[in-house]
Amino acid sequence: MKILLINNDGGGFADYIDVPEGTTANKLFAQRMKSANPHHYLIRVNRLPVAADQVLQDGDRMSITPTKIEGADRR
Amino acid sequence: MPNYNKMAMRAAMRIHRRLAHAEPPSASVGVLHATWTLVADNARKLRKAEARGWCAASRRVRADLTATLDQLRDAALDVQRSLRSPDPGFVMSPQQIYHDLVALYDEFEEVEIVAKSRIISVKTEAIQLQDLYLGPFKIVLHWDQFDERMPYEVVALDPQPASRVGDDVVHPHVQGEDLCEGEAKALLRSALRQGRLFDFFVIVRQTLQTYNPSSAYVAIDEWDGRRCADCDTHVGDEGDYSCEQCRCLVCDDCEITCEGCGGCFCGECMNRCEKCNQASCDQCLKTCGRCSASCCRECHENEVCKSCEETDSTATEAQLGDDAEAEVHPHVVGEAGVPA
Repeated sequence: MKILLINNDGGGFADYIDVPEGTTANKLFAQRMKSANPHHYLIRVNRLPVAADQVLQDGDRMSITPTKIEGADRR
Repeated sequence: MPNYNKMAMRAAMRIHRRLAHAEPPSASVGVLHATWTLVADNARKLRKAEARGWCAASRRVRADLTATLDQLRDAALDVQRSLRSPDPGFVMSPQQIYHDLVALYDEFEEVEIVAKSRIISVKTEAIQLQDLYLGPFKIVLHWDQFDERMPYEVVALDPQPASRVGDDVVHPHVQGEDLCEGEAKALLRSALRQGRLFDFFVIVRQTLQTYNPSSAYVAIDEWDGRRCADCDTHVGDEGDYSCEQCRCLVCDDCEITCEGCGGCFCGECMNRCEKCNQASCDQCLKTCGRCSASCCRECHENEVCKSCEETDSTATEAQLGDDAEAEVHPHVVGEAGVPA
């Protein structure tokens, strides 16, 4: 099945990817973010907070956004 | 959340139309090339003006060249960004943009979509960084300015400006109404280019909720003004001193000037001459080779302090006196009358 994965970490990434049926939000997070701590990210499915074991559905939109994004002092 | 939001749908349609017809990377390469031509033209004019000694023209062309170089840098960055994007042509559908806009109502306290002025704005909850209250902020996105470098503003709704820089800095990373994006820059550009407006507003909010002490307009611990390291009173921009040894800030009252070198020091780094009690920095203090006392330049001569020098002098004089007497006695004795 296809889902839209948006990774707002680092340089940013957004694209449709194929995932196996039954993939959960935390499993996909672990695959994509390696050793990153999920507590440091806003993980949303269809723009809403989800339980870690939520099973993804075809056409879902999953986004991963760091809770801390550092600004600077010059543009 | 309203079931059907007519304004959001209208905005979504217009935003999608705008993004779908946005310029491809090849178009931004064209802008880069045109800007480079301007730079080369200005460089040629500058060479000519300098060769002929036209000072006024030289100054003017130099300013023009500087401005076009800035434009060239921005154009190059735009091309680089568009080429690095995983799929430059990837734009959300009108339905996805609509769902993004409608989801903002659940995510933020207040949302306003004004199709006529092409504005979408949200209000954040009050921002607090460590113990510093900065109040809520309004993030205002102008969707007809997506091509601009900053198509949005960040407005402090209950401004708590840093006291030492006027009213301009309302957040460690906001000056006026401009967010200094730092790590968020590429993320925000990517989100806007693809029409991910929900992500855009969330990324701006998360940036506002994050403090980066290594790159802030004003550090949080200096928000209410800087404090003297010695007496902890507020220090203004005038009348402050930086200790030449530890670089801490001290106020006019606490600053101590070294009598030896004239440098400014805090109380912690300033020492005193053990002989005359004069303020003296570590560099200006010398150790007496005899009594090991730390002395200022005034009290230190010939590798020893003045006291030891005087003691030495007295001892030498006494010794000389004794020697003189010792020399005379035998002589006198030797010359004493000896009865025949």
